[in-house]
Amino acid sequence: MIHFNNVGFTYRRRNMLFDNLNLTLKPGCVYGLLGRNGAGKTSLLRLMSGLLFAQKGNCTVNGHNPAKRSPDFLSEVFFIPEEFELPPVTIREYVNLNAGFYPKFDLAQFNHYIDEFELPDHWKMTELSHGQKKKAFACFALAANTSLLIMDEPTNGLDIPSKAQFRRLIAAAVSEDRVVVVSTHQVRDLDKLIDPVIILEKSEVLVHASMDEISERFSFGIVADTAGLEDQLLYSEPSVRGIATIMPANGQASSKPDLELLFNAALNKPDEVRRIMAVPLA
Amino acid sequence: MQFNIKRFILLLRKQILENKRLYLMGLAALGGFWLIVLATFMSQGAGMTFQQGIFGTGLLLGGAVFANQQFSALSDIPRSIRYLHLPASQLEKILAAFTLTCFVFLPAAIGVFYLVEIPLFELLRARMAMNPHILENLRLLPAKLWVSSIEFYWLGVSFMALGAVYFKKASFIKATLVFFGVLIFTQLFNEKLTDWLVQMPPDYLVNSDFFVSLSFYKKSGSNGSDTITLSAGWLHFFKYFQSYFTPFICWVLAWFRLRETTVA
Repeated sequence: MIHFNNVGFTYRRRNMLFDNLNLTLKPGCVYGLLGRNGAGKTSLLRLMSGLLFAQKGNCTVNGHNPAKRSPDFLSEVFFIPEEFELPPVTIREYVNLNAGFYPKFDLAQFNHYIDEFELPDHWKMTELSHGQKKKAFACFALAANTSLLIMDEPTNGLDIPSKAQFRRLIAAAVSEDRVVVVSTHQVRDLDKLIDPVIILEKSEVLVHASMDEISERFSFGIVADTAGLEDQLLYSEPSVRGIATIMPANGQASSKPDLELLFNAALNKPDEVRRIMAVPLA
Repeated sequence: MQFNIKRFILLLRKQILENKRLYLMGLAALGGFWLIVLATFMSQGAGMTFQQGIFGTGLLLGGAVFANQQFSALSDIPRSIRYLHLPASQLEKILAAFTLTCFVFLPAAIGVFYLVEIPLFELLRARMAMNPHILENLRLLPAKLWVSSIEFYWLGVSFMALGAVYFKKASFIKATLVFFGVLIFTQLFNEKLTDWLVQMPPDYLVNSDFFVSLSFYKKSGSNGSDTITLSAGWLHFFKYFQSYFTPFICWVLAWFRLRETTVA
C-alpha cells in the first residue's frame, strides 16, 4: 500500500510541483499514470521509490519511509526508468551478481521470461539494442517479485510483437500483494492492462478511477457529426470510422473507455472533468 | 545504520566483477606510466627520492581515478537510479567503496609497481654493468619508503571519493581543484599559525610541511646542526590527524552526503 499524505515537493522554491498531494495506491492493481510533459509523473514515481524526498507531508510504501532507502524497502521495490545503462556483463552474469539482493527473486521465472522474449542469456547487456535491454531488465524486474514495481515509459523502444509480449508478462505478474505503477505516454500500448488510471494535470491528481468507474462516469462513442453535442462534448477527434467523442455519461449505458480520449478531455476541460469525477456514483 | 555482511560481500563482488575490465585496464595504464617514467630516469641514474616520487605520484593519480570511479554512477541519472536503488544500505555502499579503494586497489597498485620495477631493475643492472655511477644508484624501492606515499594516497583518494559523491558534474576535476586548493590553504595557514604560536626569532624558519614533525632551522644554516626537531609528544597528534583522521572524516562526510543524494 502506498500513501501520499499532504505531500509537498518542489525543485525550485517558488514553483511547488506538488502541494498537499494525497493519493493511495492499493495492491493487486496496475496503475496507469498519465499526464503531459512536466505534469510531475516522473517526480511522483521518484518520490515513491525514494529517489526524491518529500519536503512536506509524508509518503509511505508498505509502512516504509522511501526517503530512508533502507535495504528492506529497496529489496521490495523495483524501478525501471525510461533510460538506463547496464553493465558490460552477460545477462546470466547480471542475474548472478544482482539476484542476491532480492530475496524473492525466482530464477525459473526469469528463465521463462527471457525465453518468452527470445533473449539468449550469454548475450552481453551492453551489446543489446535499446528494446532488448529493456526486455532483459524488465525480465529481471518481474522475476525479482518485489511488492512494488515502477515502470517509466516501459513500452518506449519496444517493437509491436514485444509490446504484446510485455503486456502478457505484466498481466501474468500481477498478484494480490503487488502494486504495479506504469507511467506512459503510449496509452494505447497499455490500455488493456491499466486499471485504475491516474491523470496528473498541473501537479494535481485530476482523475483517479478504475476503468469501471470511468465507463460509468463518461460516455465514449463514435458519431458522424457533433452538431448539437457541443454543450456536452468534453473532447472529440476525427477517427477512421467517424468522430470519436467523450461526454459525461449522465446515466447512459456504460461504454468501453478510451484512455487517450479521456486524457485529452482532462487536458482540454480539466474543470469539467474534475466536476464529473466529484459527483458521487449511485 | 544498517550493515549486513552478506549484502556487503555481494556489493564487493558485484562492483569488482562488473568493472573488472575497467580495473585491469586502469592498472595496466598505471603500469605503463611507471614503466615509461622509471625506464627513462633510472637509466640515467635517478636516485631513490625520485623513485619514491614516481611511486607516490602514480599511486595518487591511479587511486584518485579509482576512488572517483566508485561513485561515478552518481554523475548521470540512469546510472544513479540503478546505484541508489540497489538494495543495500548507504553505509554498506560507502564501506564497499572504502574497502576497494584502500584495501584492494592499493595492494594491487603496489604489486603492479614491483611487477614493472623488478624486471626493469634486472634489465638495467645487466645493461649498466659498465657504468658504476648508475649502478650505484640502482636499487629497488624499499617498503619503508612507501609510508609517506601511502599517507598521501589515503588523504587524496578519500578526498576524491567525497568529491565524487558531492559533485554531480565533472566531479573529478572539481574535486582535484578543491583538493589542491585546500592543501595550499592549509599549508599557508599551518605556516602562519605555527609562526604565530612558536614566535621564533626572525632568523629562524619553521618547517610546517605535511606529514613531518615540527622543526625549526636557522635561515643561514645549511647543515643539520642548526635544526631543532620536535618529533615527540603531542605534536605527533597533528601528523596522525592529517594522515589518518582527515581521510576518515572524508569517508564519513561522503556517507552523510550519499544518504541525502537524490535524483533530481
